[in-house]
Amino acid sequence: MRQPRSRHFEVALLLVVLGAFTLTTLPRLDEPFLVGHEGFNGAFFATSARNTLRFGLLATKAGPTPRYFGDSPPRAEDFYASTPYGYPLLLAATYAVFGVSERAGRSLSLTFCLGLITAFYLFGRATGAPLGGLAAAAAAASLPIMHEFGPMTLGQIPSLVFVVGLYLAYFSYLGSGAGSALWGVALCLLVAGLLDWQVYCHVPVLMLDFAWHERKERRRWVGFCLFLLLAAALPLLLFLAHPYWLGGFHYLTGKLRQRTGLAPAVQYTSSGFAFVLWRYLCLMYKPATVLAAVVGLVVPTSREGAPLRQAA
Amino acid sequence: MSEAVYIHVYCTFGWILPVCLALGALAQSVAKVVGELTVGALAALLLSLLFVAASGHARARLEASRRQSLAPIQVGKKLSSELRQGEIVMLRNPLIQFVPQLKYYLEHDFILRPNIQTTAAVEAQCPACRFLLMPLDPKDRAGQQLEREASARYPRKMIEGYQVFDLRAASRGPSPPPR
Repeated sequence: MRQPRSRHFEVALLLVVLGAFTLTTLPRLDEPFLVGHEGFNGAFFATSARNTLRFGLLATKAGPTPRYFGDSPPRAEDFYASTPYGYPLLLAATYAVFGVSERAGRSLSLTFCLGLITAFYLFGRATGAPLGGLAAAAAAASLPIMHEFGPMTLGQIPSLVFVVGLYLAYFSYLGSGAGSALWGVALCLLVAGLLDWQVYCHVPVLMLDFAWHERKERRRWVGFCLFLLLAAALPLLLFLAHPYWLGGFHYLTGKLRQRTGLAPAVQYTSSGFAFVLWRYLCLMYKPATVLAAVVGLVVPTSREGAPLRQAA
Repeated sequence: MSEAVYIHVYCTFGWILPVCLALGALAQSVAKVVGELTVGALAALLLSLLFVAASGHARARLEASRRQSLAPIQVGKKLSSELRQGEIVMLRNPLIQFVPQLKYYLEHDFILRPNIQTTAAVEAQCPACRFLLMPLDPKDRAGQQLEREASARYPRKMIEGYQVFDLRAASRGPSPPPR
């Protein structure tokens, strides 16, 4: 009879993965915010966080001011109200505790990177696929995008941790039907939505998946969809209320036009977009990894691996 | 039609979720057929190779960026201590496209313009946008023409190996060579 693998052994393997990633990232923590996207976003959000600490939460209306360098509190036109404002606030809180430095900013991102790697393992473990979880965690720590942009100060990385948490809570709800799991879904949606946009892409995915599971219980599916829409509306409304507070209705509609592409500065085509996306995927994920992931999506899946595949 | 795509390479970070979970599902499924030990060993080998390659590539890019960019920022910090708040500096250096970074370190308002002709045009449209200082890297070959033009019109001094032209002074002929 096969011996069950020790949980301690799995944790030890996970610690090796986390340690290796940390060791390769540590030398970069003190680098100035200078070059490329990493430097740009580092300086961009660090400036905003520094302004929040300098002028206070009320004077900056808790909003991002990454392009502002004045001596007096910022005005409406000095705000960058195009992205959720949770991350600049989180960075400001980090700076308030650890001081304004490149190390503090990147340490925050590194912490969330380690959280994301751990979340993949926990996801596998919670869904009865610890080996798959370990493989996903090791893959996350090995991908070029993690090494290149993992320590970058940006809301995407913390948000992803809560997206994985969202799926964990969802699968917990599917398994148990407990109301507490629904609170977990709502909380993860709220936090992830205040940090970055990407969580909204996962709302329709959850709706479709729930429809598949509850295809005989249409009323239950409708109820769940309404709950998801309401939970997703909260961070969205909080985001929309902020530019309105900063500069009124005209300011809000201007920002919406800008972010939805209704007021584009240049034109682009779908084929061009697909080509660039594929080029980026090859660069940051490597073609062999993408191919293996596609195989993981289409081959018949074992019972243990099914939740991993569903979430993917 | 010009074609541009509004997506940065780091925006593909969200793909890490489906890619990694699909790889995990693949590992879990294959383990059913060939055994966990085989899958674990194979995954460890392949992912270790990917890890080493990815971290090495990131480190190489970091080294390249260090060589490229530290000197201008040292000048920036030195300049920052000598400038008054709100002075406008015209920069021409390899980091010209990375405005937020320079602003973050200088903590001064400045505007970047690549040459004296466009500078004059900007000043004509916006008198308040007048540039006050212009640091130039003598080793920057692309800036030699600008250096000749500036030398003929403005006084200069050396700060940490950089020529800093004082654009506040009126044009009064060639300046003496820097000390």
